[in-house]
Amino acid sequence: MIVCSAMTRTNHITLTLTFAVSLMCGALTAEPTSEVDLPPELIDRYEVLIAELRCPKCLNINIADSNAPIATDLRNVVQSQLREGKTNAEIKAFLRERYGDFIDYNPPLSPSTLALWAIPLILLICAAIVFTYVGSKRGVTELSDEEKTRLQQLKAKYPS
Amino acid sequence: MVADRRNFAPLRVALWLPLVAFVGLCVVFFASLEFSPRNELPSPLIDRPVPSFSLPDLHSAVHRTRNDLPEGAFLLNVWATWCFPCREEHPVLMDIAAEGIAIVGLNYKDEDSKANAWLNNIGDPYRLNLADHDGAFGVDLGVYGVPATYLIDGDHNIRYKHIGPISASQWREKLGPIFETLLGANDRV
Repeated sequence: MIVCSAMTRTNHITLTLTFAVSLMCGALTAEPTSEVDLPPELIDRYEVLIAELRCPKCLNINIADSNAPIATDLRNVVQSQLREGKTNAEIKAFLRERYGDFIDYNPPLSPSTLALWAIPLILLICAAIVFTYVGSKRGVTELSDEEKTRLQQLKAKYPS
Repeated sequence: MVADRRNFAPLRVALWLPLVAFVGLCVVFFASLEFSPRNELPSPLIDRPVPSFSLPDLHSAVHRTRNDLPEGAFLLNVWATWCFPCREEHPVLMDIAAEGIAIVGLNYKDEDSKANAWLNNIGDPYRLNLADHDGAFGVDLGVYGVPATYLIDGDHNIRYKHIGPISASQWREKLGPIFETLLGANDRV
């Protein structure tokens, strides 16, 4: 009985905590969607776009999560262009023309972004070289004749 | 033992490579954190014409277009009464205007009455002032913070973008000399 009541008490605490946390999360996530005025079929594309577009003012946050006035303006630009029937690529091109590649968290392959795509490949190749090198070195652990005789001597000296 | 060491010597060197690479990356990242201008994006509009617009004049509500821009090189200054650094920049703009340089204002996401009161109270350095109430022309210009100033050449191409308030020393040492070269290009035409 004592165990049981203790269990229910902890359960109560966990439940209350979970409830409180879910309320907080609800309050946090509900805020940005309140300004959206789009037909339901466009909402998904809108969410993807604002998550992939970077806020030019705040450097490392997307325009979905930023409270900067410019992020609000750009979300409105995305909404109005979606309503006009523009494609995702057209909307991104529109913003890139004005704010540069910086605005896009998914930048196109160009001379200035080449390093982004090339460095992981180069690192992968380096890793492959290092691994094959280490692997091949592991293979070459043949003992020389001297070492073999010494091994035999040691084995004779310290029988297991 | 000697044979062992000879066999593994190249491997020993290779084992240090990740650490060396890691330290190298740390140096690169810290250097770029410290020395790159944090708040300045390169503008893709450099060497491109001023985007076309049709905006009300702040003083008369008459619509202005690219044809109403001053002849020759000028400064396009994005400002607002709600922008605190703009007040700091204002006396510098007054001095620049006193040199006879044309400044076009873009009153950004502001109220006309407040903007006009500001100019009446502390002086009007602008040759022309456009009202961008919803910030749409600001987006065309790639504005993301106020104040911002564009140096425009005689062919009405954007040649330089300055982000943040212009200080007297920045004008003297950097922006002024760049503007001089635009004037020179215009005079030769």
